Amino acid sequence: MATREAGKKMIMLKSPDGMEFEVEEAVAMESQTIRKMIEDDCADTAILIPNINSKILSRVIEYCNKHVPTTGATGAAASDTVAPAALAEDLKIWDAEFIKVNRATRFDLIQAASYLNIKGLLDLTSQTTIDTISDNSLEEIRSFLSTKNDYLPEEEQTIRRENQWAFQ
Amino acid sequence: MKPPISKRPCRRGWKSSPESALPLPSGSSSSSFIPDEIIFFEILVLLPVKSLLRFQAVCKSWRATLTSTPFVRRHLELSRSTMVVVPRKYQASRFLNVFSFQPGESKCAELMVRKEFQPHGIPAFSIPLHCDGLILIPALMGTIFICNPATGEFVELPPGSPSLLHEHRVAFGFDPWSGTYKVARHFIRSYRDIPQMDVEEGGTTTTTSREYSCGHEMLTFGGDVGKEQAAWVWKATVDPPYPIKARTPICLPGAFFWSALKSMLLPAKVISNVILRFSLLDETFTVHPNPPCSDILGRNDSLCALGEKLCYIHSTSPWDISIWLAEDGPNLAWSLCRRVCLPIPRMLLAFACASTDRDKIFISVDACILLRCDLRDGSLEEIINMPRDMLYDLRNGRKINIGALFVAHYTVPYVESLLRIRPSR
Repeated sequence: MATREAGKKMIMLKSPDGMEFEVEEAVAMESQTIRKMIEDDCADTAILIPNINSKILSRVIEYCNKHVPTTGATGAAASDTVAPAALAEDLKIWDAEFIKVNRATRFDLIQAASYLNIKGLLDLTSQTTIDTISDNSLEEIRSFLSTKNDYLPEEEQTIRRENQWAFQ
Repeated sequence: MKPPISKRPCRRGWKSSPESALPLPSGSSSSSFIPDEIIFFEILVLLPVKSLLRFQAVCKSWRATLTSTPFVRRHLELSRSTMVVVPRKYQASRFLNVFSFQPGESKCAELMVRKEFQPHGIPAFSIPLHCDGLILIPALMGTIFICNPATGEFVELPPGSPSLLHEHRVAFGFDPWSGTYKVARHFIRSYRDIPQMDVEEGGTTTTTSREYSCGHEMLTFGGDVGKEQAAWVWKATVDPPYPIKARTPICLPGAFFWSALKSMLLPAKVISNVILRFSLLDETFTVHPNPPCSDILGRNDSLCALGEKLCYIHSTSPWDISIWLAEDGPNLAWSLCRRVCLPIPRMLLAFACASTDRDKIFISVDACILLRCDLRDGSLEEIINMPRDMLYDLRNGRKINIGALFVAHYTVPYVESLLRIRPSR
């Protein structure tokens, strides 16, 4: 956890279940939604994040903490001595560990990343989901995304026939 | 100015610190539920076409969204640029094959689409054209085919107006003004020869100048146009001011560029060429000069597109080419981009196309050798010698090297897309 230092602006993020998270402004601004709010001068010292519970919000903050650019920060990280390529590789490994979560958590993260507009996190969560579903059967997809098949059997057959090669 | 952000009272007895709240997202607020917008436009949109065709059978609303224009366009924007190879024999051949190819990553091209032509085979065709995942195959004698190799859709366009030309070319591109795809062709209705007396020192000579009556027509599809069957026809545009040459034209955003004959004396003595810019916005032609290097688009020269610039490749000897570029605009301001010395002599044509790295381009020499050229220093790297090294994977367990049997291995830029050529039922 980053220690609080003099001269760094801190922001309080609150989840609807009553938890408070104090983060550096730069970390909070990894979210384009929050950044816009701060830049438009609409943010007070505390921001309520509706719809994202404390468990997910803490994971999101963990992600932002890791991904916030360290350049120009005064003693924020020891990254000055690490080559950028090594740093990127390190981030990749960290991301891969970070995303090892169950499906419900991943969906919550996707939703949070989309709502808070954190592109890196959205890309990471979407791509991970894609990797798991691209070869799934239709039945698996339906249950995975809780979608109901509303085709009549003959309708489904027609559509399957149209793109038959895609089912091989 | 501040957007209206609602201030919410503290609900659980938080300290009464000044507090703002982010607006609630639209849609449901239940946990573990992802809005459709995200499922489709953030997640599914990353899938390859094959998976998306399969997923149309998930349920009705999925099919409606996966085939909708916004989804298809977003999917296209996120598609990775690659290449297809379309080999062509000297004469008509029974099959037309389109292979996918990752230049620099592999020396193997994988079959995407194979179409059999009975009973005479597919006629000889010139360089295939690409736009948004659709490949247009222009047969020299006039038939035009468009296919989407990712979906397997294959369409033959209706025949256009008859032409006295034995060889003709086709322009193909996206019209950003109407959101439709346009195919244009040129044709010659008639011509007559006019004898002329030239007075020169020492006497008079007789030459003949040829006057053409030429036409230009366009077929539009996609967007809302394709939904009416009546739209699937050729419509005449204004006549071009000069007869268009049978050389592959170029499409840049909003315009087609043709090479045309400004004047010609017989027997077969070309005086000069110009470039005709056909605007897709107002459907008119404007006349522009060739680059200063040459008044004539010679048989070893070619028109190409690099990024969003018109490119002219001028080759004065088999070992060298000059790449000229022009910004599109009211005037084509030509400038010499780079001279390149080829590692192997070209026999006929060098053809250039953009790569994903904006400093590097691909150069195809005689549709056989594919090179990558760094425009910063003119250095060249051989990607593949196709007759010698390319393995064509027919996806039936056989990988073949087709060698010198084929006269051309056309390499065409490509992105995978869900676009339909004809509207689905």
